[in-house]
Amino acid sequence: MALLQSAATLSHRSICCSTTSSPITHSSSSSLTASASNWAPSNNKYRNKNAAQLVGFVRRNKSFAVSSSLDTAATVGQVTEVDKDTFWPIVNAAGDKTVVLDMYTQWCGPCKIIAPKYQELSQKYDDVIFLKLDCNQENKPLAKELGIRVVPTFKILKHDKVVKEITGAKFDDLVAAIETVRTS
Amino acid sequence: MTLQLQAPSFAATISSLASPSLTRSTRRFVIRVEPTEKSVEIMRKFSEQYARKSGTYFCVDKGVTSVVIKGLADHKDSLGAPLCPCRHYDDKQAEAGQGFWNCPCVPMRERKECHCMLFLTPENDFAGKEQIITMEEIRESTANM
Repeated sequence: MALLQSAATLSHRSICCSTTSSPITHSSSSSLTASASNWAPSNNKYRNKNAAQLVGFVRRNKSFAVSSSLDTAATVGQVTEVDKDTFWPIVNAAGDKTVVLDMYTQWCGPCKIIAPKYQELSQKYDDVIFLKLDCNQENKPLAKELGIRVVPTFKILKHDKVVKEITGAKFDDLVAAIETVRTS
Repeated sequence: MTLQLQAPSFAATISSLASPSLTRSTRRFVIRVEPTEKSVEIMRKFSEQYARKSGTYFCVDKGVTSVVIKGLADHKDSLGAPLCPCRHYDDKQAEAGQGFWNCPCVPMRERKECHCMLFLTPENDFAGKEQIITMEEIRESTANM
């Protein structure tokens, strides 16, 4: 798409509407056990026979993978597609890391504009996990749980909670929100 | 692996995606439904007419215009009405019946606000100079989706 290049030169302009904060606490029934001690939670809160494992290669390769028993992985440095089954396990396994979720639909024009810039962000912020969710019929329960009206909507999570939300393809607002949350 | 299925009303593409896992590989199958060519043509003509009528212009990147037109066509196929593809709904059928978000939606009709970036006022940074889009443009710019 030609706008992939022109969007970069047009700099970071907002395309749509409002910013709201909506803290949502999720009580996940899925639990995890960290196998790497330096990433392990200090308590036994997350322990289950279907536990997720944390694998880190942070220092040498600048690559950190969060895997779950559902056999998906979210790797920093790229955008990972999630669905209603894989999202919360990955969030739960993120520990202190900031998680950003791009909620998009198949035929949303602004979603296509911001997608390459979102990809660039994932390469820039290697301490943040970038996810995307196709808000189709299959993932409707998760979309409803998280709350979405305007597409795209970006949810920023930390410690298993939604702490910020950006409605619309507003790149500048998204960057500012990520900076705020990751440094908090 | 990609399978193409042709049905009377829908063309569906099933593609397999490899999970980016560092451990085991997993394949997920995602069904992408394409709108009918008839509905795409209807929404293409509607978009051109409404752009002229409202004094708005298509996006400088016609790919955005194409995607939204296909989204409208997809909803027209499935719901009978061109529900805005840039919103999420609890009950799409009810929303289509209610009409607020049927294109042209109320915000567009009242304030020329189109967050899909289909109809852009001239002062919008992303507005191009055209009120025309061909089926060929739509096909080409959405071919890899």
